[in-house]
Amino acid sequence: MTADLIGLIVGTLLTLLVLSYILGDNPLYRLALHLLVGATVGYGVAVTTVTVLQTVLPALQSNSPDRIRVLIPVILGILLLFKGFPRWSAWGNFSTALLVGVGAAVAVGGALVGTVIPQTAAVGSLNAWLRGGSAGLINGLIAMIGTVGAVLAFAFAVPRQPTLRRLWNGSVGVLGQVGRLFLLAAFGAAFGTALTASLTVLIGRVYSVVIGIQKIIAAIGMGGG
Amino acid sequence: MIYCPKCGTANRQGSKFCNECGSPLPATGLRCPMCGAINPTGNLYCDRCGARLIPAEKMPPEEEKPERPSPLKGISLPSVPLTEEDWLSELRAESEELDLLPEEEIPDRLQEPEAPPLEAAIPEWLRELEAPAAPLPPEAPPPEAAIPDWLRELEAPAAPLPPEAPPLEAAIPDWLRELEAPAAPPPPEAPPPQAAIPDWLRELEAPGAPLPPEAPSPEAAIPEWLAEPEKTLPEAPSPAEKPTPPLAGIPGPPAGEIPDWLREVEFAALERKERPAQPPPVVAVDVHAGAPPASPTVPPILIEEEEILVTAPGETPDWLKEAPEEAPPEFGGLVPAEIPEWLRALQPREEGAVEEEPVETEGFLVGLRGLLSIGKGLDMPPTAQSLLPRAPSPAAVARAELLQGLLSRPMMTPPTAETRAAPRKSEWIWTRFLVGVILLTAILLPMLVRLPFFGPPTVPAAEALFATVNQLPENTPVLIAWEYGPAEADEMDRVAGPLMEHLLRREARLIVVSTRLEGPAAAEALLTSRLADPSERLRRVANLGYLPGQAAGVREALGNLDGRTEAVTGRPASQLEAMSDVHSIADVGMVVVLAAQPDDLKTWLEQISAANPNVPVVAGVSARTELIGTPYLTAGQLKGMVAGLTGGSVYERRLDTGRGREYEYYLTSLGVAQLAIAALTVIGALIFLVGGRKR
Repeated sequence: MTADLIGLIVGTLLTLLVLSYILGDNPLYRLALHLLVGATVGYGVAVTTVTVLQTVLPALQSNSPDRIRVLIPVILGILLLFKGFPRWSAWGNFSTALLVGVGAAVAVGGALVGTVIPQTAAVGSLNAWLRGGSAGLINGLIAMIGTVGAVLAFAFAVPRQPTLRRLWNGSVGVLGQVGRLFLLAAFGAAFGTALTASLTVLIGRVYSVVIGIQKIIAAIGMGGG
Repeated sequence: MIYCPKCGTANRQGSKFCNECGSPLPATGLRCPMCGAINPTGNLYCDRCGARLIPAEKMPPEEEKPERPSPLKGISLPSVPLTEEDWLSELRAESEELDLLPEEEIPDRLQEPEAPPLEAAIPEWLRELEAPAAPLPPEAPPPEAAIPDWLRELEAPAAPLPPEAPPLEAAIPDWLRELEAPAAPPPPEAPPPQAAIPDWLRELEAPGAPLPPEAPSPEAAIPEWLAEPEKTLPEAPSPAEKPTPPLAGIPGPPAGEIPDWLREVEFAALERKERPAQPPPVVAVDVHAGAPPASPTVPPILIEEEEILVTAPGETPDWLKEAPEEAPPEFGGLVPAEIPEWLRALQPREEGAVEEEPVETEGFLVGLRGLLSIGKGLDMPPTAQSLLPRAPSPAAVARAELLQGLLSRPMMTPPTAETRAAPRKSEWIWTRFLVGVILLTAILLPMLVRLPFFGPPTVPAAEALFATVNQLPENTPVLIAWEYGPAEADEMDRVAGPLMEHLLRREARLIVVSTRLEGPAAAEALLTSRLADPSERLRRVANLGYLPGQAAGVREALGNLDGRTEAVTGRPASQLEAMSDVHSIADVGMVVVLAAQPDDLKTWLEQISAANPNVPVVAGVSARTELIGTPYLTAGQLKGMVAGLTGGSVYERRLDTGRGREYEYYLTSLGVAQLAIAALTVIGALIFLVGGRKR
């Protein structure tokens, strides 16, 4: 019995154990779940350690200027370990601040350059609409109406003056209702795509189980024959 | 400088007596009793507030004015005239002579006129309060000092005074003399004419003239010689003991200049002179016997005094008859009727009057006396009843009925573990089992039967991606962001597999990085399976492994690709053949993002746009990430996209890798399962609409 066959058997068995949840919460499902979580965490720790050590240790052992460049992150990383001890957790404040600050700056900068500005330009660009012909124009109009309506759907305040209130309800209120319809459609589409992804995974699991059983039977038959 | 009114000598400022003759000097100013302002000596009213500076009948001596106002309302201190003329000094001397009379010549009843009983009648607490608040003047000028010269002359014709008059004067108690003494205003220098009658006398004469607020009784304002004929005393001293009348020998003023009331007084004196043996009738008021009291507000100590002083109505002038009613007699300036209530409350109660406090019968203070008890009306304000609406509104009634109904409803017992588990288990196990069986049937059915329901889909984005990859030159380095793991591999492998195989066919060098821990392993498994020759792996693939730090790690990796280490072999990336001439994102020909989660796709697209927006980016995403990727595809940030099993199937069909049957099975199973789920949803909704709502 080869390692591939053992892996196939274990994989098929664990898949069946997870699928046993269709009968409700049971110990077999719990066993598979605990194995999955434990393996994932262990694998993550191993990968992180190996990755960091692979990067850091060669640089520290060398005599190149990279040694100092690596030494500072190593010190900051060691200080970050103090966060696990409440008495000395303050030692890791600078490392935490650096992580949070740099991460936020990078994320915000990338969001502006990569999402906000291009997407806003694309929604308001007539060229982008015309590039797709009449369908593109309609698509662009729908996208604009849906975007504005979705934003106005979250405008809950109304003017106090009766005239302005009627005007507001007649314009912003209607657009907000349209935006809510777009939101409903978006949520429905998100649910549909998530369901499709989940069904695809289920199909793959069932397919792998079927193929695995076939292979196991074939392997056992070959071994017995 | 102060000039002596007697000798005219100039004295220093602030001197009280003349350096030359020793006579008292007038004060330099009058302090207003209301506002405290210093006024010139001759002022009758304050310059600042207009209050009267000198009382109409009584003026206390300047040096004996209390420093602070009396806390007792109604206490008025006598005042003295600021200037004293010669005739007043003479009168004072005569009065002192009268005071030197032997005590046995004064009737017992008048020797200490009511002083002991008065003091005895004053409660101890009131005496303590009175003592510091209103210091009584120790010595008051004799009443004779207030008699002007012209009046002395007026008295002359009536010379033979009744025998009882002198002893009367001597018998007047000190306290009464103190009250009367300051009432004399500075007399006019010009004698008798009627126009020169002093103001205080004219005010007394005017009937119904309003008395000032601190006006003492009219008796106190009457000069002694004038009051004597009016008063009838039970006992008259012998004529031998009578001193010389002060007005004897002084000719009276012309008849026309004497006021009527004064003439009446003179007549009365003459009549008494004719009938000396007949004492005037005295109305003795016996308070203890139940006789009509003088005033309900007058304490007994003063009522006894009334008993002495009240004369027959026919003998008393009108203004004098009305006076006791308007102003009650004073004692030391204290008017008992005006003692405030709070001061009365301070008066200690007699022991017998103290009520027995109830004993606390419950609580931790049981057995204690004198505890404050909650009155019946204290727990609710007296106006609460009136504030309540008389008739509650229908809405309030409806709310009250609803609340009453909720409260009267029987309490629901919390379900036990058995009652909670039993129906749920029996219901949900069969429901889940039924749904599971339907889904498994829908998934397995295409494996058994080839269903022609679902034809090959058309996905323009996948076609565009295929075209983009087709245009890549050979040996082009392609950066691949491998953002999925084993959990999503069943879907993402169908998406990434055809794309990776296409890139390998195009002789592209694949540089793999991932921000997910399991990403490098998933990449290694797929790429190994797609490589036609495993020995080509080191030449064609560089798996740089895991990128910690999320967005920051991505940004760092994009600028430093060759500074990493290969995950499988552990070799530095710069030494890998697949990484030749590749240092950063600027050196790669294309970026492929394989993302199962929407956030991973966004992170990579944003950081690539920030690092090098000119590099073409394509994506292979899961079905749920397709919604996020479509806007980027529409905006041109993505050159092509393969989304989900459908997109992978299209790419596989275009590439023709020989796995078409597998993709067909997957697509058919997916379609049937989706139909089954839709059918289950509709059936469940119908069940809920028909019968589930009741339940």
